[in-house]
Amino acid sequence: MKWKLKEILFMAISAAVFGVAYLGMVYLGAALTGILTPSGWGILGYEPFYGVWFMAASFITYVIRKPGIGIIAEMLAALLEVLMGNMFGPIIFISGFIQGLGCEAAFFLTKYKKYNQTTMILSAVGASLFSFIWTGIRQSYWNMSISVVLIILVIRTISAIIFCGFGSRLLADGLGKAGVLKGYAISSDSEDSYGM
Amino acid sequence: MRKINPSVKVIVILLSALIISFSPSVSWNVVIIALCFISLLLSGCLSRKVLNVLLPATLASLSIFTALLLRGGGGEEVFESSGNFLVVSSSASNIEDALAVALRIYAYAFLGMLFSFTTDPQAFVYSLMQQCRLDAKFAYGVLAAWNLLPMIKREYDQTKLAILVRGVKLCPWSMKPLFTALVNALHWAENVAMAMESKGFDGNEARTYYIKLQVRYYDFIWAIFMLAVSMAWIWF
Repeated sequence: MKWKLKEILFMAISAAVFGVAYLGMVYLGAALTGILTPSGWGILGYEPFYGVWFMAASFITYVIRKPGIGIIAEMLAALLEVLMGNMFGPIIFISGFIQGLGCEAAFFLTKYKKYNQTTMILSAVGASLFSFIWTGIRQSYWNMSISVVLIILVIRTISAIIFCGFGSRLLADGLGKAGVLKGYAISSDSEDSYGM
Repeated sequence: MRKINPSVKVIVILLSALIISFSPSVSWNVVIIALCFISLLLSGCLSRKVLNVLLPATLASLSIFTALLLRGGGGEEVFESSGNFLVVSSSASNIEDALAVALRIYAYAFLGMLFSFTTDPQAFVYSLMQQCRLDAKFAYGVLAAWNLLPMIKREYDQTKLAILVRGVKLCPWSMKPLFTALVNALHWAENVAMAMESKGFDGNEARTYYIKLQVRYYDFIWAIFMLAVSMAWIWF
């Protein structure tokens, strides 16, 4: 598999921008957690934002369309986030790896051929499921009642579908219309949509 | 702490974070937190930044603590017994479990600070390239992106200003300036790639390094010590 330098820089810069967004989401999530904590629902504080944390993987895979890129991109965004000072520290490398893996699973199942809305939604669900298992281990979900755990899973999946399934795709198509994605795999696949 | 090889540091911290993910012990989490705190203190890296990290960490750990207490197995009954429901319905083991998980968040936060406050990003990427055989293309790509970040921030501010000057109203969470900044950043990505290639950059050949990083004996000592402490809960 040959990587073009251009693709690597594209990935690195988008991962950097997503890293900033991720860090912002951590603080937003913390704020919501603070509001919800007195009622005991604080654990849900981060869930509505979870979709944003999967966006690097799905967005960059959607643009560059190479096997394995989702995992690398997500870990790269995690790396940059750690360097900027994320409170969860290097452990989010592992989170990044697992989320990227979940995202990647859907593209793997379609053999890296189909990059349509359905695949994007599938990859969002994949990322949500994989990360759910991982946070389950870290926060001992088996000690909580089943309804709370289910609520967590549902909110996280909905958030993932909104941000990754639709958001990433809209973002990539918008950037494509702005003309900055020429020369990446995305624009050779859909030439008719914006006449390249 | 600053002298430890960055690759060794990140691998050890990752491993100990993974190990304590499965740890049910309160006291050993405290030990790890104390250890990280002392290391930070000794390397002179305690500053206001610590508060920035600890504030959300406190919220997160509080939320998990209350969630485990109030929404733990059989959470429905908890609601009915109002008043001092914490005392009424939570057995001692439940509180201990919740405390262990809450403290684990702190342990993560401290391990994270131990890494990010004592490591120079540039040295870290160099070390990944020299010790972990990271592809030079990736390494320099990441460094380029890292150094472009302040410019992206400035671009974002300028775009916002430009929109305001034209008299267009912006809500604070509007995506418009971010999108424009992203478009420009992607232009830069292409230009930087082209510039690197035209300077003869090629990730495939063996490189020589200006800054050489090595793994020394104290890296090993520190690594073994940290891992032993994080695994201690298995035996004690």
